[in-house]
Amino acid sequence: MVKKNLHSLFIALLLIISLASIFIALLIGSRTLAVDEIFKNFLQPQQSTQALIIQLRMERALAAFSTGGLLALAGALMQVLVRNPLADPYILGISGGASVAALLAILLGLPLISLTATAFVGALTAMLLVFILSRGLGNRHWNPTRLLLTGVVLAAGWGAVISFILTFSPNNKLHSMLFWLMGDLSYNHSPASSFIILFVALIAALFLARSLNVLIRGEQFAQTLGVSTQNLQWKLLLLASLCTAAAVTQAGSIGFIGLIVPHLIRLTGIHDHRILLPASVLCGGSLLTLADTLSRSMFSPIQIPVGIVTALIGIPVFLFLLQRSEAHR
Amino acid sequence: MASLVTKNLKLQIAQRTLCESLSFEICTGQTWAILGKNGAGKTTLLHSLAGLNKQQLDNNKASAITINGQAIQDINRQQLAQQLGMLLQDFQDVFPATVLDTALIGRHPHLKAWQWPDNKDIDFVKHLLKQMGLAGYEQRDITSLSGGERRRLGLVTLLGQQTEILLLDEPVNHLDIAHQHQLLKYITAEEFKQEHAVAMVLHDINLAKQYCDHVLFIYDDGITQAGTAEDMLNAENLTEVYGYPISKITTDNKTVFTTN
Repeated sequence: MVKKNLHSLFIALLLIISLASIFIALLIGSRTLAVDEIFKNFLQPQQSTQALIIQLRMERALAAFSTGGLLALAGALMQVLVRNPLADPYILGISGGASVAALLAILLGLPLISLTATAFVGALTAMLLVFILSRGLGNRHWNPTRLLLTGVVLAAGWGAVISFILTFSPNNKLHSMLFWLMGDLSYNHSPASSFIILFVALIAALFLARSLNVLIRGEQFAQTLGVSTQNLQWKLLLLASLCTAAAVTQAGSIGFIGLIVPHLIRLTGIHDHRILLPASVLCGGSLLTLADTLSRSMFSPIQIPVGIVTALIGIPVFLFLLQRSEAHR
Repeated sequence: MASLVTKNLKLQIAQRTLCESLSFEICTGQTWAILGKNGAGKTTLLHSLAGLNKQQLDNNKASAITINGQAIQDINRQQLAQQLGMLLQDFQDVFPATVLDTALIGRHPHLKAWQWPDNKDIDFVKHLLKQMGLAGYEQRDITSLSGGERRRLGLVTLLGQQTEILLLDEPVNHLDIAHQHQLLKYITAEEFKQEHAVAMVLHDINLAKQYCDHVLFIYDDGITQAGTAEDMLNAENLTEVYGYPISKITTDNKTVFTTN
């Protein structure tokens, strides 16, 4: 019972952090707002420059939050699926497919609106390719090692195509291409659809969560404890891929959130996926919201891609975790 | 009274026949030893009995495995996990976890989707940890355990599952001689036997002789032979099973099998 109360407290704390991160995102920018300006605007919406700034920042903060949540959820699911702590949402090459599609859209000069749709089609194509190839021809049995190898090889293939496109792109397009590749939230300002996907995916994942506690300890072991692993693994692959596709479509390939957030939560001693998954979503969302605020205010008026900030935070944190886990053995 | 029955069971792996037509029955109160050379198919057989490779049964329609009178394919996994538990040959611990949480995983088949283990579950599992000499290890990380400690924790997880049928793949692997005997004594004690049917793969013939009342031999060519330990365990049979000369020595009312 004590443990259960602690869990509720932990989730409550993360909810507060999440709201705080969004609030901070509203305050900070090329023009710093005061706290009371924001409260006033919420109480009495008005037509002013402040109101416009708040609306723009709110949309961007929500886009960052949902993308971070999607990435963290996809990472946590992917780590169970391939039973590898180094797995992240991009390991199966889904972001590669999205990137190729997005770069082609930029190269052909398609309007910004269609970039999202194009990237999503690219992500789905990459997803289908992994599904089909990892299963093999006439091979009904499916295993995580094969999936991982197939995904890693396909990701390398997408990487080559990306370099190819970059090589043949005119200079004036290279800038926006690089921004997209490094992960950038300045394109998309309609977070509603990704929030819906995040919400549905989290609910669906919570129904699998208890079985994930067993699956993470080994496929056969999970079977002896009554888990239908083949079935579960397919659902996991589908969920993780969809989350990745939605996140990449919204903001390009933002690194490290999907890799480190589940580990951060585990470090607090939480291993039960019924808590770990929602906690990862909240933590990933807050982290990316804060990172995005940094990325647009650090060198203001110049905005740097948020992927640079997450990498700069992510690399030391991850190395620290690695050292720590080795010291424990 | 639980029972695990096989009828004309045929098992194949990569074109090789591991057992041609195995029919035998494991009941509550019995302790079976499964003996055979490396690669004879002991583990594969145990996996099949545990329902881990149902495909084999789909491929051979004449074969049947029944658990408590029900065909194994017709039992859903969770129900099966409440009746039959298995100790696997090794563990794949990649992610960190405490000893207590690992022991509590055994309660999985008995809990509902949103249920957490309650104090009763925790006390029960702590009692088992104590029985297996792991008291005080509750908060240790499993990746810091020795091979033998991890093995005993595996057995705690299995016993926490509270199944009447237990299948053990080399349960004494990695254990020192004292722990080997403590573990086998625990699962062959009279009050434990009254409520469990046990089958285990062993490599030590003398342990099999000391603790098991029934024996299943698996020979190289897919031939199997089942019977009571008394009838089956003799130098002649063992020499044939292992393809290596084994003889019997009797001293001070003790019978020991040894190599020449």
